[in-house]
Amino acid sequence: MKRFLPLLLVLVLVGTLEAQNNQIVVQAQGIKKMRVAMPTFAGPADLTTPTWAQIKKDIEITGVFELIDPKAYVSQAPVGALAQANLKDYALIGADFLITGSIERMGANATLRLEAAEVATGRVISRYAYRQPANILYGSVHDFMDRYLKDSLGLSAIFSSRIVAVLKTGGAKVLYTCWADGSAGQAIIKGRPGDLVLSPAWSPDGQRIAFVSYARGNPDLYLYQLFPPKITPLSTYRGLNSAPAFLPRERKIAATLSKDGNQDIYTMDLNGGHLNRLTNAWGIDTSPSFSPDGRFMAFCSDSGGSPQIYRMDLSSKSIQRLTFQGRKNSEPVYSSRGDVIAFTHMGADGRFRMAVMQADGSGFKVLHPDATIEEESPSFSPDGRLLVYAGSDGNLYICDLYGSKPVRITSDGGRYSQPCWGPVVR
Amino acid sequence: MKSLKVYVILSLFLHTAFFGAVIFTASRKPRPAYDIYEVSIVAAPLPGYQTQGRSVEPRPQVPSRAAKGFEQIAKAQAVKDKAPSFKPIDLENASSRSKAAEPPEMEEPEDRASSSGAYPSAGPSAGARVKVNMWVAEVQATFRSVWQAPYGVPIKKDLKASFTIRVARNGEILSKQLLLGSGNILYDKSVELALNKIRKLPPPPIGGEAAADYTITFIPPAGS
Repeated sequence: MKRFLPLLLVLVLVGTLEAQNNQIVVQAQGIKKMRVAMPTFAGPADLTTPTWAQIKKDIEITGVFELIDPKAYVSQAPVGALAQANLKDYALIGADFLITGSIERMGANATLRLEAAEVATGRVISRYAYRQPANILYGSVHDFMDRYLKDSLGLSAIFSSRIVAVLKTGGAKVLYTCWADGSAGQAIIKGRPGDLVLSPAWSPDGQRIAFVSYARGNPDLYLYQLFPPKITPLSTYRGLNSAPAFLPRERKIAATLSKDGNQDIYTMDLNGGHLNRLTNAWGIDTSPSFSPDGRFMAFCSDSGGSPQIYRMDLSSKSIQRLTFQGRKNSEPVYSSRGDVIAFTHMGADGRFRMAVMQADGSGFKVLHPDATIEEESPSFSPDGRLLVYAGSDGNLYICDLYGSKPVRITSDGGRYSQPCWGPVVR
Repeated sequence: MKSLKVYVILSLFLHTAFFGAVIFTASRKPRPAYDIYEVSIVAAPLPGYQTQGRSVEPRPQVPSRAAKGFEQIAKAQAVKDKAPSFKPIDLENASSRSKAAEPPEMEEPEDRASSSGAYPSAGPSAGARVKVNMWVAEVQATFRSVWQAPYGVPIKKDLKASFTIRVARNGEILSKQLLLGSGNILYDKSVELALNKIRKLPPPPIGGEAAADYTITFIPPAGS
């Protein structure tokens, strides 16, 4: 007992001192997502069921919320409004937030009412209503989810943004867009059998998509202006014109060209003018991506013997190698915050997986080391918290940077590749 | 007199033209940027939904030299006038910050620390120290029971959020305020949400004051 006396004394003293200064430190015992309860919505089932399912999927996509299994709720009855809910029931199951909803059909239109409250206090944090054609309620859900993210946790919008990808359909590869949760997917350029479209990239303002097409038999760069719809050739030099990426602060685009014999990265104006060569090394330099402040360019080069990720300081043109792990590292993308670079990593087992590192090359981490499917072509969400990527099963997935289970946003697998997440569109 | 008439008529004409132009300009709403995405439907928006009249046939067009090789490009124009607005509408004129329902009654911690055990301000006795220590431990346990670090925050060693809470002698939390944010809004919000779950702490073993302020600092789990 005497042995523990000094320790006891120290503990008593520390506690006393803490209280005397009125300072108390609380250390978390773990990490958890915010827990959301969402009973079924009130209204016609053909409208409420898919809307509820879409919000459930969006909650999973956020990366910060998790939906409490409805089987755990005290009552399984639909709850159309917060006023009808007994918050105590949801506090008992550990819910932080409660979302209720109702849909009322009005001819071809429908009125969707969605509410969210903080369970502990009963404070309403989001209350919105939408009147829309019944077949496009998904747009209202995107708007609500973005507002809910902001109202509840102060996070930036992600759902009012689009993803562009390559869709394999009818023997051709065409451009495809869908909303961030995969809803309302559609081909935006319909190709003939054999057409090949690759490497789509959104412009920072969301008004243009650059892409590679073999429409004229050569891999050329095109610019697809969304409004009014118009496609113009951007770079049609002999040889390879590929891997377009917009510069964040200038009306310029970077791409890999082989017009001078070697595959190097160039920048050019949006009309293809003012060509400027950025890299000039032996080997292939490709997949440029720019830091949001426009100071750095990450890219992939095999000049060191295998494809690895490098970073160029655009003012001094000095180049630093960032990756040394595994067999290959490619397709780097800067997050919109500029602090993280995501990329495709091939480990010793020869499988492609998502990986991230700090922008200086430190903190290398494979996100899903035990994933059964391979992963490639990452692209960051507008707020830089999430990634969309293509799985080897031909579906698009969204994941966070902390290794939780990815959410599949397409259902008809075997068809999607090379996603690029665009900015939020209001 | 005649020239005055001319001036009056001219003035009326100019005013009418000016206000007409203003009204015309104001009535022309800018086209929402997302109109452009409403193109011909290849995939249904959602399973179970009908695309009543929304399917849009692409407009025939002569492929430009620039777009040679593509059979057609997207047709935003065809549906732009019917493109929906996803902005919420004010159906009920409801306040978005009102109380929805009575909040649940939260479980309150047992009052295990005695208020009569408060120590004098001149200096705590050994017994009072033990009581204070026990109280601190109870407060820590109370907050730990409702707060865990939020998922989705890059955990760093210096990550911490400090809140000032005012505690009444009976342990009731009278107010709470963010004193020093962590720099991560999600982290700070998680603490705020946790604080909202606690209405009453064990009565603090202090004497002489009706209420006291405490600074509670929330730090990430060990080893993270």
